[in-house]
Amino acid sequence: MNEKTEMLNCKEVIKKLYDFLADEITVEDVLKFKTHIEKCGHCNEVTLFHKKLKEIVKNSTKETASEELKRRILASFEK
Amino acid sequence: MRKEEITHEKFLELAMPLVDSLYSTAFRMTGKKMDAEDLVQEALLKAYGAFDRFQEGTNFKAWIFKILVNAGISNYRKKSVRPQTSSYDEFEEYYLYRKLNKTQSYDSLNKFDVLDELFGDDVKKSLETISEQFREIIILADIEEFSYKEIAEILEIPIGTVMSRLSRARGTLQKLLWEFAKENGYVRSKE
Repeated sequence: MNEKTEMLNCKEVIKKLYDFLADEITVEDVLKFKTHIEKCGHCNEVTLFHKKLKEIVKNSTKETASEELKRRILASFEK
Repeated sequence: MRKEEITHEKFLELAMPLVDSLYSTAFRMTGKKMDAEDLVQEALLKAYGAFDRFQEGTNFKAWIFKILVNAGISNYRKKSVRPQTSSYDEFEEYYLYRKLNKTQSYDSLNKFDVLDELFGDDVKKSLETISEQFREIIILADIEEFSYKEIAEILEIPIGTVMSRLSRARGTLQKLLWEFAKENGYVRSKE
């Protein structure tokens, strides 16, 4: 088996999970990761759970700047 | 157009689309609308003053966030007693999942349903409760989606520290989420 088709085991998948979700692993590892979770129900569930958790954190507190602040900022840059 | 007008235009073109993100981050860090607005304005003025040192083609968002974080440090860091320390466990960032695996939930909610129940307020409250150092890194990584390398630059810490701090921050956040899930009765622990 050459290195490219070599499988990741469950332990390696879990170890790389957050890096995978953050898009911080190599293209080869992404492929290996996806190949593994397609076949492994448990790792697939762990991945989906943490992907969802990450989305929930991301969407938990969306604040937007007021138009008033934007106007003030633009005004402060007026020459 | 004169050179300074071009610079002025260019700065606003790069900076204005980021005002919401900057404000959102500043608000989460300070918890107060007025402080957040002041911080954003201060960061923008500092960034404009330093704009000639910004290298074109590099990441403007990471650059301006570094200025925001630095502008904020002196204010919000004062309120923090000391960074939270907790024992470091390699799989800490899987805390919630592991707990839910050992748990019965009411009305046969599965793990994913529990996440839906947690949506919104509990996550917001948990984020407000963790230390500023942890909150800051979660905002940068999971909300603003900066890369590890960019976070390392923004916070001026090594990438290894970014990764270990993130993992501890996630673990701490998940412990709070677990407490909320228990308090609100989404789950009941068998332990």
